[in-house]
Amino acid sequence: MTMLEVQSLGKIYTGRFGGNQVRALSNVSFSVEKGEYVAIMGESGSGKTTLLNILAALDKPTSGKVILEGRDLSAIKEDELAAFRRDSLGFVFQDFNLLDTFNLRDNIFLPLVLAGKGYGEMAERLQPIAQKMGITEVLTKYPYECSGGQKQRAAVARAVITEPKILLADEPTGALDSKSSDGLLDLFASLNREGQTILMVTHSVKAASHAGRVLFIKDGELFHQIYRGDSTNEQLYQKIADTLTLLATGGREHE
Amino acid sequence: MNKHLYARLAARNLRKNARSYGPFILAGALTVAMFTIILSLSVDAGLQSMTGAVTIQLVMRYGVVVVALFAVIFLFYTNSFLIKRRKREFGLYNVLGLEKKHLAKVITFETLYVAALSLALGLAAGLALNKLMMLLVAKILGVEAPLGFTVGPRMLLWVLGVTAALFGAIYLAIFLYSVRQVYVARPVELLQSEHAGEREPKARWLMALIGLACLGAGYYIAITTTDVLQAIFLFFVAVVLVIIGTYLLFTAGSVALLKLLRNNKRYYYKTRHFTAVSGMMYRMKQNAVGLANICILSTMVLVMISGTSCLMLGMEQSLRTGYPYDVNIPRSNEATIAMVKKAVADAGIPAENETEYDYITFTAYQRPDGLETTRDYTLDTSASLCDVLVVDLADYNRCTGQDYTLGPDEILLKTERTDHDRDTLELLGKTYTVKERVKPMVKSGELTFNLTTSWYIVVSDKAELERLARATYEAPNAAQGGDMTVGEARYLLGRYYGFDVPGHDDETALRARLAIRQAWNQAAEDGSVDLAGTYEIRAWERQDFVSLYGSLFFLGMFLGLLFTMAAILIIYYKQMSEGRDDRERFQIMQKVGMSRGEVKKTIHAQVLIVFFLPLVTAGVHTGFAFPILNRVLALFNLAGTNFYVWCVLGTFGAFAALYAVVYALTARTYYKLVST
Repeated sequence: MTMLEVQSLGKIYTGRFGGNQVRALSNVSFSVEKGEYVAIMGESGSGKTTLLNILAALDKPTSGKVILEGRDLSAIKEDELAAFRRDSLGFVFQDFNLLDTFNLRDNIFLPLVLAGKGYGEMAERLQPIAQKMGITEVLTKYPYECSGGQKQRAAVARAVITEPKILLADEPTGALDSKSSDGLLDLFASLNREGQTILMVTHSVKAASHAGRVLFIKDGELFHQIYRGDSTNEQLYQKIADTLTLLATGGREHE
Repeated sequence: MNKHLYARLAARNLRKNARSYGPFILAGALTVAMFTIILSLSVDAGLQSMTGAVTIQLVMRYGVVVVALFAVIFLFYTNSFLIKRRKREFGLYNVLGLEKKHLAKVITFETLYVAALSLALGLAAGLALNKLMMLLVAKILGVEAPLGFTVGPRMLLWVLGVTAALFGAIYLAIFLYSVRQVYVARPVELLQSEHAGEREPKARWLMALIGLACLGAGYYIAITTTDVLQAIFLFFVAVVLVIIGTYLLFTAGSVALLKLLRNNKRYYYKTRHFTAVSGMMYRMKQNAVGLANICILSTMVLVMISGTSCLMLGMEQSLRTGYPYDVNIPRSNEATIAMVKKAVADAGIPAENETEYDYITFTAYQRPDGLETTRDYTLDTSASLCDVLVVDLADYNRCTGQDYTLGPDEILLKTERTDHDRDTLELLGKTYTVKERVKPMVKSGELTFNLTTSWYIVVSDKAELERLARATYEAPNAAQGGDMTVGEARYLLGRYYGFDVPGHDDETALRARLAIRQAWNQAAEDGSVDLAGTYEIRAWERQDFVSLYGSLFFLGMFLGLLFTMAAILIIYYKQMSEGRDDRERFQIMQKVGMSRGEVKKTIHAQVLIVFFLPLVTAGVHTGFAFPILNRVLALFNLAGTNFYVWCVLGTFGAFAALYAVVYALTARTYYKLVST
């Protein structure tokens, strides 16, 4: 069953006075099946973040459409959008985006409180997730008191506590040391094994090598994709690295 | 390195930070201008030639001190705020290779530019506005101002010198503080310092409770102090308590309250309360002192302007109570009054509404059953101190047009600012029966400027009045005149003579004064008349009143303006820093699933609370200050409560409107910062 379908997506940024048009995305199409773990790779400025923002309904495409579980995102009214985002999507960002005015527990509760859930239900939902993320001990601490890994795991907890249809991750290991990165990627893999659909944008080969499928994007266009098949993480890592080399040394000639 | 580099860097920094340094320079210039004006008013030759010049200059000199103190605190505070905001920028320069001594050079140039601009603009504005202010003061004081500069060139130079020296010193202190801030910090700290303030605030319960107690005590004093003599002293006690209370409650109390709310899980985990409570906690942590400053400044503005404008607007009422007739001759005798009548008639001035009556006045202590004249005066008994005026029935009936009759032991009674609830009154060894409490009374300015309660007593006849006059001398340790001989008693039995001139014309009244003065001096010289008492002409006294109330009024407005400016600047800076901090939160909340509208509404509500909290608190403070101020104003014969109510409401309305306009204007800067 298709969870997410992206159809010939295009995005053009226009300068303030109409001139200076920048094409951030052009004719991007792909789909993500339910329970899939997809990584999107590309250099800085390749259009990854634009793509993710459109998928998150934070930005609007200039052409094409995004369909999540059969629902066209562009058809959702502005005032329903926030609620939709809250209920159907989970986000993990590179810089965690935890509010420094809340302790970790309240940060995790934030989307549930916004959805109007009672305290009892929230506490009940939090307990297994916190345990899984290994942050039960630091729940009452504030972001400035926690390590990057703890913060990112709290951010993941916040993203999955609403049981979203799809988890969108934007460079989630970008601000973490290698040990924390490994921990987080294992966490993602285990979430995926339990059926969580994940779409991750990254330029870390290591992060991408945990995914089931890797899409490559360059200059706003979808360039290539690799399926894991039966490969181990290490084999996938090698394949990705090869593709990236190809991309960097003028992949167009082989297109 | 290139010598001009630092100068150029400093200029570039100021331009880049124009949003924060522009208002700082403007505020500095305005403070300089205000100081120049008040300083030159205090030495102005034109003012010195006015009637009541001594009073005016005393008030102006007081103003100079206040403005100078204000300038030091205000400019220093604002600068420390700006430097704190810029630590990151300094850290970046440091990392890029500018040593601390280089940074110090940049700051030197920056401070020089700021000081030069502020002083130049301020002195220019001060000189330009000086004449206007002079005319305004003259207008308020009701005199014609001489044209042209009344401050001579030497005086002018002196004024400019003093201003430059004072503000030079202030900016030097500011410079030293800024350099110190850079020197004590390490580069990494400089880079991170803006995030250092993000620790969760601790709830300081003891502080919050002390604050509550201080505020409560201040309010309690303000409401319960009924004795006017104590009111003046206690007013300052109350002011200090309320200021302490305000600071503690804004800093510790607000956080404590929010923590209480947060601990209540059913309240806290609601969509509307969740972000508001935690957001407010951080806002209060960062802004509490600034908000308390705004609150105190606003309260001062409100009290000052409403108080002084009440004095000014109520001056005529105050004069009429103190000097009931155009011409008043109190504590006099028949011979003197005959001389005055003749002098006035000879000058061709017709006397209208003539009144003449015998009376005595003395001081006593109020007891439940009567008046006590033997106790020694001490401050703790002042609560029951009273001034007593006694007339006899015949004079009373004649002067007031009443038709009362009294038995030998009966009296009529009228009390002001106190009550006597028994039917008898013991007075100087005799118990009188209070036949009736009356409203109309002989007009006398004798008791009205006193700090005490007023008692008017009407006795049955002249003989009784004389008996009382003698008794006041014979009473051991009598509050007044105890050591005088009986032979001098007749001076105590005074005679009041008062009349109006046609149309209450000031010029005629002053002409009458001249005639009376001439006759009086003549008689004093040749001893032809047994002189007693004094002469008080309302038109003449008014000039004294005008110079005192007028200069107080001017100063009230002047300082009010200055403080308002300070409050506005603090509001502006608060908005800016809030805007920067909120930007990040705004974005995160949107990503986590709040709609743009919801986020805007949440933030808007918090900002609104933060900025109108000081105004509301200032309003409450002013409200509680009302009873005690009203009592102090009663000393100035402004007993009419309604009058002061209108002054306070008017001032508050105008101030609130100004505050709202400033808020609306600065809110635009705020939303620009948040939404970009």
